[in-house]
Amino acid sequence: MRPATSYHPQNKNEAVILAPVRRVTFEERWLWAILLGLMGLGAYAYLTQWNSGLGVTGLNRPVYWGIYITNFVFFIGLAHSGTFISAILRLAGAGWRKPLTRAAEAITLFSLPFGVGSILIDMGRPDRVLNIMFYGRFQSPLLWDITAVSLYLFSSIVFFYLSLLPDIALCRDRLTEAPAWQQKMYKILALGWMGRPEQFERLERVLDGMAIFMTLLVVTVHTVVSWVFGMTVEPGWHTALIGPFFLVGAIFSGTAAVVIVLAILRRVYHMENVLPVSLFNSLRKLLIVFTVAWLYMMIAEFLTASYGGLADEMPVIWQKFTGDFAGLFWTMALAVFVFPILIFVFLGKDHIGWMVTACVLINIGMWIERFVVIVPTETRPRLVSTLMEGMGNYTPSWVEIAITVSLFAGLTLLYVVFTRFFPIVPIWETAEETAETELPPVEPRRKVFGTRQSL
Amino acid sequence: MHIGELISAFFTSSGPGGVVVITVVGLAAGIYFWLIRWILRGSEPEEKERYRFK
Amino acid sequence: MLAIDAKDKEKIVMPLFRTSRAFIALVSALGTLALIGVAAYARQLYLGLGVTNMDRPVYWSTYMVNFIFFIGISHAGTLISAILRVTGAEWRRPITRVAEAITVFALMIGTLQIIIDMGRPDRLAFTILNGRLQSPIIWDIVSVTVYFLSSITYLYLPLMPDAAILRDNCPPDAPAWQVKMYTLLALGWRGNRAQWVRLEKGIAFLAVFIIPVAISVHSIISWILATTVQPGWHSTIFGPYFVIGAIFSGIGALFLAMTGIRKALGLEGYIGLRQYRNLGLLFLTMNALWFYFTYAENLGIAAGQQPEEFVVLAAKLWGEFAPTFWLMILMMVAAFWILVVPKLLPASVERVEVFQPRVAFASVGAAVILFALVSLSPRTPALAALSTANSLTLAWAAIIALLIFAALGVTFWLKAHPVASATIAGGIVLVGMWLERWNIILPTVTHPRLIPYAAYFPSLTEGLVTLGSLALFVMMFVVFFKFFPAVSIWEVAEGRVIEAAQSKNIMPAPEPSKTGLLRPRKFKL
Repeated sequence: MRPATSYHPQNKNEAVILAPVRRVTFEERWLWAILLGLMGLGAYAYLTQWNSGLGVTGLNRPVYWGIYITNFVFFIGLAHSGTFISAILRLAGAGWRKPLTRAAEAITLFSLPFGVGSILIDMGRPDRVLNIMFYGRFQSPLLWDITAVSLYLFSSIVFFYLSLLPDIALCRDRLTEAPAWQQKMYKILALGWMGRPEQFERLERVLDGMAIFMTLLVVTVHTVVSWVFGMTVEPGWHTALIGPFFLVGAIFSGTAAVVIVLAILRRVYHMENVLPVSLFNSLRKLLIVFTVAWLYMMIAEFLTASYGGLADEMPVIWQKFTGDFAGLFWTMALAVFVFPILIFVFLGKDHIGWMVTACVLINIGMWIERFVVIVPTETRPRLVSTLMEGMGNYTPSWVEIAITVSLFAGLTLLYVVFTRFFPIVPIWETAEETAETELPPVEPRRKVFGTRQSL
Repeated sequence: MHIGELISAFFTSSGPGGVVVITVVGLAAGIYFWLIRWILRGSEPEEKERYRFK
Repeated sequence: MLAIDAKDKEKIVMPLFRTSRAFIALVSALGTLALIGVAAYARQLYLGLGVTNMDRPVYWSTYMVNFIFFIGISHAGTLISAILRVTGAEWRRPITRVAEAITVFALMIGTLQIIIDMGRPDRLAFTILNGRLQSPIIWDIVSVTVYFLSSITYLYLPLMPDAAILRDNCPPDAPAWQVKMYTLLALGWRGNRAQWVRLEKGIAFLAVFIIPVAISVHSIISWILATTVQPGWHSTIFGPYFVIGAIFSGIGALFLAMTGIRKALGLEGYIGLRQYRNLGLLFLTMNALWFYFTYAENLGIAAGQQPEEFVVLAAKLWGEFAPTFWLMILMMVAAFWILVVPKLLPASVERVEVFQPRVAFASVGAAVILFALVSLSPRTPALAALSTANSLTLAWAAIIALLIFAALGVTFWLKAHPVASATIAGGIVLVGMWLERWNIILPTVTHPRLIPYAAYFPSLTEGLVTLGSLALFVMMFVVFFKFFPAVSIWEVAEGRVIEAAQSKNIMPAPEPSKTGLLRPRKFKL
């Protein structure tokens, strides 16, 4: 016989975490309205493009991949944040990641559809995407791309859902004052979760196994995305480092995004106890490592390429260093490396405001970086002789900019609505912490896949 | 019929790619579906639970 | 007077004052090999580099492979001592000294290879007198020197308290010069709190400092190759690729050294299964990353199919370097298999026929026979039927299947002998990584951008010098650990204190829950 309620682990912060779900403020609904408006603007822009064709964008020959593809790579990169926090840190036994997992995974979940959508938006004939199914050739990196990203999207949904499951059951049992349709939603989504220890045990095992699988997927997905560029012969794209380069950049920008989101959540939902400053300090150390790693990748790439001095590669490099894209390139270098590393090292400790500033700079800079990887190569392609007078320029049109803004608005909207229906901090995962945080501060013994309180 | 040609034909002709996509995603779907049900089952009915008597 | 635990004294300190016959035999054998190498080098110095098979365009060959190989091994110390210290991994404590010693000696032998490679070693002074800052070779000299000095310091700093312990705990019949050596090296260490605090700060700073230095060392070495325009070398991925390969080979060397020291000095109580297991996990990660980087590099060349680049890749895949290339891949797969599959198989399937060692032997035998037939097939009329395209494909598929059977057959033996399997994996990886350096350098120098194909096979001189260098490396390592403790006494003692303190922590009892949720988290595959 099923008991009336199921078991939920005790969590002393439960009330704080559930508070946003219980009440939606008036200002919040205004926010939703504004975001919906922006999305509407984007939809209108897309309709214009649908009616008039891709000519309303700034795309031309030879710059046939522009802002839309930049968005694609950027959003897929953003999606790696969640997997990094949930899966990779889980495998590394970093117990301090527990409050962050759902917030980070939500970024993954909600940015992936917009990444995939960017491709469809980029197509003048979106129906042709079915050609991949009917006529796909196995040697095509685009096919691997579609396979990998679909698998990643699907697996992320499942991974997210599984770690959400006990908390959906919690909402089903605790939120008795919610409207009937909402309660029914919880009841259906909870799939009859009763919180038995065997269920928790199996859930943990599956999450461990999926963590390994998701880690492998993260590496595969962003590498395969980069090989769409790397397997051409265009100078600047055809570089073996592009796989690790994109991967490091993705985890870097993703972790920075997680910091921004956490800071906002902490402030707006008054979660100072649930998301303490020590989390941000741990993330700060990781971000320092990633910043330096990103710089290393850039040095490896440009040192090797520029020393070679090959005639087809140098024009692209000069475009980036001193040419049309110099402004963007050096802005990026400042925004992604110089300012953040100074802020992290000197100002960031215990100061969430500075961390968020650095992370906003990083994300803006990484978007510019994606742009600077994609477009300059197209303006100086390998067969430069085919460039006629006036070709090789790219100016984005209002359609592209509007759609980009609407993509970000969509991501924000989905995220914000999500936090109003489900607890953004995993209540069941952070429950065990209440016993362990009372230990005296001795450096914990390192177990394989154990738990550690801070980095 | 050369095996090498067969393999090369698989990689280069149009069609098999879509099969691969659908197979991979479909397989994943099946596995995840089964995994979720496995989690929710909790534990298999143990031997001693089958008999009411000790 | 610095105290020491009696068991530590018996196991770690006492062997330093006893010279066994085995030790003398080992050192003599190694010394002989090293002397042979020196003789070969002296002959090369006298007669000129013509005694090697190096020629235009193959001007970098075996010596350069050795150089990169040894510098690669030196990353063992940085990984274990520095990175694991920075991330707070307690299990590193017993193996830090072995790792740091490998680093120092590998660096010495590696740099020696460059000097051996020069027909006019005196010209080394030009790098200092006339060096140009834009040359990657100058960066290499700077970074390797900095790394070498840092590594010696990093070896010496934790050695200081140990030397002091030895100074105070020598047996009464110890030779005077040995006691004097320890006294000198201890630099008057008294072991009071102020000194410990400073030592810890120094070591911590050096640990954080040495990591970027090590990464820069192997990146710069790779950029010596990558900043040329030679096909196969001019690849941006070389930086991280070489670093990953270096750490990988370093762990392999560490496995071998750990097991050797453990066996020879009876240190099973210190270097235990925990070290092997955790290093094994790092090993597997590096293995996977190595495959990733290798695939990324070669995929780009294969897809781009640029004329000069593809020739080099073709030479590796099915040309004259196919044996070394595929042997390398086989080694890396074998190393991965050895450490992974025993963990994955449950004990219940041990009785299944395919997992018996006799199946392994039979499969290997069959594979060897088949391989011989395939190699001989075009040359004898009797085997002409085997040389058609279809049969060859089937034969290769059969060989691979037989090798898989062979691998399955030894799985349970490997499962029962974790230390042996880790050591075997380490040895295999060392061979594989040497081949990898070979496969990077040789195909490109024999298929350079401007000169048509040249052939190369190492000469006797190069072989003897390589053997001598290896012998010298092992000899220096063995002699070092004759006089200095193989396990860092104070670090291990410190680890015990920390563990004891933690075990005294009283976990507050969990609130009584209905179904007893709080259970120990175990990772199960």
